[in-house]
Amino acid sequence: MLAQIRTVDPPPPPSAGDFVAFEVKSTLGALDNPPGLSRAQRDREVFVETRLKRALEGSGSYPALSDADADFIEDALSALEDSAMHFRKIGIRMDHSGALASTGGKPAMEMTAWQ
Amino acid sequence: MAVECNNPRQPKIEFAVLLEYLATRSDRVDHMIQRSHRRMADWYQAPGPTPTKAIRAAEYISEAEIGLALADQRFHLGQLFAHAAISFLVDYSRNLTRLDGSRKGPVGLWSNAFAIVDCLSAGRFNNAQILRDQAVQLLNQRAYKAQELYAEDLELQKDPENYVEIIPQRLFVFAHELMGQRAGQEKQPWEIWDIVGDQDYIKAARAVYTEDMDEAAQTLCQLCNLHVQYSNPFPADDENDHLIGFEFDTPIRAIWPTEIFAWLRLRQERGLPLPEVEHPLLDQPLGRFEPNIPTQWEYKPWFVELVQKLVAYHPRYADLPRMVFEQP
Repeated sequence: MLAQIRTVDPPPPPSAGDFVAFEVKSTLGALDNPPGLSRAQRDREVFVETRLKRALEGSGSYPALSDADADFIEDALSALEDSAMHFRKIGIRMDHSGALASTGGKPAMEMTAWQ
Repeated sequence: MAVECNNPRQPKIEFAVLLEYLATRSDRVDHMIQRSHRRMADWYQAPGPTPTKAIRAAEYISEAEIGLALADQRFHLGQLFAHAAISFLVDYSRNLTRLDGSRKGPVGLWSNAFAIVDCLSAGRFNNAQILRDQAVQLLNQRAYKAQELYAEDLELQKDPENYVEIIPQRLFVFAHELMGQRAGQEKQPWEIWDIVGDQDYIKAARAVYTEDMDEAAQTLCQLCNLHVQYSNPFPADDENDHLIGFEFDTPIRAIWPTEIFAWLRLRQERGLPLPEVEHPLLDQPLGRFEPNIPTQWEYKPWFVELVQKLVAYHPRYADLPRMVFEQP
């Protein structure tokens, strides 16, 4: 799987200090035509922004933050607003056994990548 | 005589519950306000390439102070009016950064809409017009990310194999249709701008200057119901935020219908009679329309300082004191 991911345009490796986060979306029960990402997930900047804001406000299950953590998130939010943060989104489709049946039995995953 | 609304929706949070909730958070919010003041001072010491850090702090303080005042029972209307001034500053500054740097802002439509209706509701008509003009410029430059997404969605929708749910803009189209009506424009070119708008809100905004009092009352009732429908006071997970259809997603916004005040304020500006309706949303302390615009505005010292610092920071803020303090 990692080898196949490498066949897609490789993004530059993360540098020390880069913030890396993943969000996995399951599309249960849809083999041939899995649902797309919701609007909230497609607009990645806003998606990340809402999560950072929730963490900052300590809403839901987010724990209360120390001042240093809160400052870090504030800085991240400011950077986001100034378009100083960059996101990549990669979509991988496979079925629930992980057998990649969604590509019609082809031995490769269907992958899309956006810069 | 007040018209009774058909099927009025009950607001999703009661005023008493809101106060209780705010009281439990007041210590934390107080702490966050102090922190925001510190961040603003940090920016004064070492301004970065943009004023974002200070602007974000100002935005937080303004909203949090309303909450604190409500929690301490020392809330008064002047605060709502002062909040409109800060809303203007925040959105104006963000738009300037966006227009200047030709960047695609990560946010935009939603915050612009709130800033415009807040300014209108407080009678800051010139400020609202400035924000409107900036937004139109950004729309024409296709600088809003949402425009791209809508265009993509509409394209995808042409293939029946694709399931595409399009969530329309509500407050944004409402605010801009209102501004359009004020400027005598019949409608806004949403198709050209690639924005999908909620028809109910568009219709309500276009009826703002109606002389038929029945229609005015019905529109007002509908605006109240729409406000309740699209409010969610305690967003907790993915399904609850403005990206998927809830416009009013804080406890205070859920029962503080500034877009309705904006609608009423525009009628008042033209000297048209204001419809009176009975609706639970308007029948609570935050739902009352204040007919008198203050002649003397109360500005917080930190806000005045921020404006001065911005003027010193970059020449493009030179007009700011006039816009904010002299001709709101």
